[in-house]
Amino acid sequence: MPEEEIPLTPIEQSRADTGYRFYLAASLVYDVIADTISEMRGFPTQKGRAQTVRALPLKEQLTVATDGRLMLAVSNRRIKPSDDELLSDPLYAGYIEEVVKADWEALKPEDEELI
Amino acid sequence: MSFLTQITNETTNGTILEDKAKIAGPFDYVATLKNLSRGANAGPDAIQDTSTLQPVSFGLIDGKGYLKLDGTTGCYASVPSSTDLDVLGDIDIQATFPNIESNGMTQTFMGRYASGSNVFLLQMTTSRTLYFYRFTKFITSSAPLSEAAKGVRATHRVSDDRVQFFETLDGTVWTQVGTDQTLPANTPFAGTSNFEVGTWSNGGNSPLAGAIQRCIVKDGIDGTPVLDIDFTDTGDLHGAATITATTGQTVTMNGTALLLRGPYADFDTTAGDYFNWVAPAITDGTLIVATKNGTYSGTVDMTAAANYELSAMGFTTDHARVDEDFVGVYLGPLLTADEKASAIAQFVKQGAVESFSGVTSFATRFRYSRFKTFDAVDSSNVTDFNNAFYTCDNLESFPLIDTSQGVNFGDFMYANRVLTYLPDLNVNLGNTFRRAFQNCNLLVNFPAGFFDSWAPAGVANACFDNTWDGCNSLSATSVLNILNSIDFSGIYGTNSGLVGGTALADAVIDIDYDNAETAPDITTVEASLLAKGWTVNLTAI
Repeated sequence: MPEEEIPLTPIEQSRADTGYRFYLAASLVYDVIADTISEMRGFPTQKGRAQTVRALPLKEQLTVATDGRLMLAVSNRRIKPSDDELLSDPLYAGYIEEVVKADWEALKPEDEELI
Repeated sequence: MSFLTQITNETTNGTILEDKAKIAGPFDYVATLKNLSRGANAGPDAIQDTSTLQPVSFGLIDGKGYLKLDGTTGCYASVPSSTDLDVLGDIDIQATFPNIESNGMTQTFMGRYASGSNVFLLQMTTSRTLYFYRFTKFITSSAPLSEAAKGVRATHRVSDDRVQFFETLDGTVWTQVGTDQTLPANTPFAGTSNFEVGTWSNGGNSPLAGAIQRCIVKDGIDGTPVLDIDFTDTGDLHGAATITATTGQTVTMNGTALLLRGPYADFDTTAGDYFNWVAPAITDGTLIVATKNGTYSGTVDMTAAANYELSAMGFTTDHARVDEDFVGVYLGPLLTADEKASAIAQFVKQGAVESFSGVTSFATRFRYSRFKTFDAVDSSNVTDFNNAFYTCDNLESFPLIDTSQGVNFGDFMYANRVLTYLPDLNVNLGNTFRRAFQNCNLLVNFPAGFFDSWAPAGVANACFDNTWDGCNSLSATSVLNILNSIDFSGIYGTNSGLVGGTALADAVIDIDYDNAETAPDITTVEASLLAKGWTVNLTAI
């Protein structure tokens, strides 16, 4: 079927328009997910003198959304099929959610307004 | 391959950082910037140990450039539709590239395909299956494109609608992908759609992420090229907006599509890429940030053993504002003017651009940077200074840069907490100064005549909202300098700045000044400003 007959979902459109995936994650499960992805990627690399220790930022480095969830933006090119599998695991349903950019931005805490 | 070639300054034994991984290739994530200094105060390498915060290296491939596509809609190269692109019989289309990774979405190599004119198109799905469309019909390959493929090709023979897919692993020998396929019955037509590389429907769909080196469309299988675009042609300069195809057509780079001709590191400003660097036992030094957009420098204070966050913008805690194509940074002991020029010249050899002469926006560019002094840059074409030096609160002297084309000065110098004076900047075209100097709490001297020649094309609402709010060191003389010069300019508090224009909803001039100073007598100037539609909100704090 020609692709044009299969409209992109809002999430897919957001990915194509921005080059990113925008996630909101419950703090409760973030460490588990981050550690699992690191393990799948083989991090830390070069044990003993690791240059890359983890895949995703530490929880403390993430912005906390106005609804209390952690905000994570990941470039499309960094997402591996195995990540997709993990992130869509029903085990985490309700704990991590991919949203479109506009919804993600709307949950950012107030920043200095750019005129 | 080397991402940035070795650079060092043996004269000063200064600290020059560059990509550590000599084997880093294009699109690799850069975990470490190597510190090339060999001095006692060299300091360590700069590192980023979180994968998703590591910049991506973009380098030449086998010494050649390419078209860099970032996988977002609107990022593509195009050739306008013309009759010389029309192929009604057999067709042979080819694209070569270093590698194309799956990115979770269907990606487009090239085609002439838009609503109402579906001429031909070649795509790769998430499973690397190839899609070929022609004359409104389509067919898929029976096998996926190899991960190691360096080229893709599709041919269509109209006599029996046979479609064959090929790949090349070395750029020269083509091997068939899967088996022969048959395009459903169709009717040839010329079509009016533009030729696109990286997307279809004029940038609107299925963007490709990666590098494209060459695209060829042949009239006939192994026939004569009607279009041959060589993105590696060394005659075309880095960042060129248009190039000429080997077959003569004009090729336009659209959106963020970039013709790459030199290595650099791409900091992801959405994720906020940066490096951590621990300062050595020196307390002051020189910082040079070299990018493909321009190079800037100044002095910095450092605290030994303290961690500094190094982004494409230099020392800053704000990593998510400016998209810079980072080439390198010097960070180390103070340099003389000659030494600094020498270091910059070396960065230019690496591909950096020295001047900002072609840049029109400094919006957020130096925000939160740690400069103590800032060397003048060519800002003669900059119209947008919004947030340019926001919270540069180590910046204790500021050069008289060319701001004569500036229109937006909102938050220009917000919360600089060390500067005591301001040079007599040319803000004649400025239409807003909202919060421009807010919380510059040591700013004493504001120059006389600052707004005397103010002549904007229009005035933004609230253009002086909080402009001098929190300036609690401002002298009474400075207050009068501000008000007298606004009054002298003859600009009204209207949207046109002229008498008879629409009154601004907020035409208040907000000024705080030093409470210890004798209150300035603003009676006369306030009355004059009031007659021009302005209101003065003067507060001693």
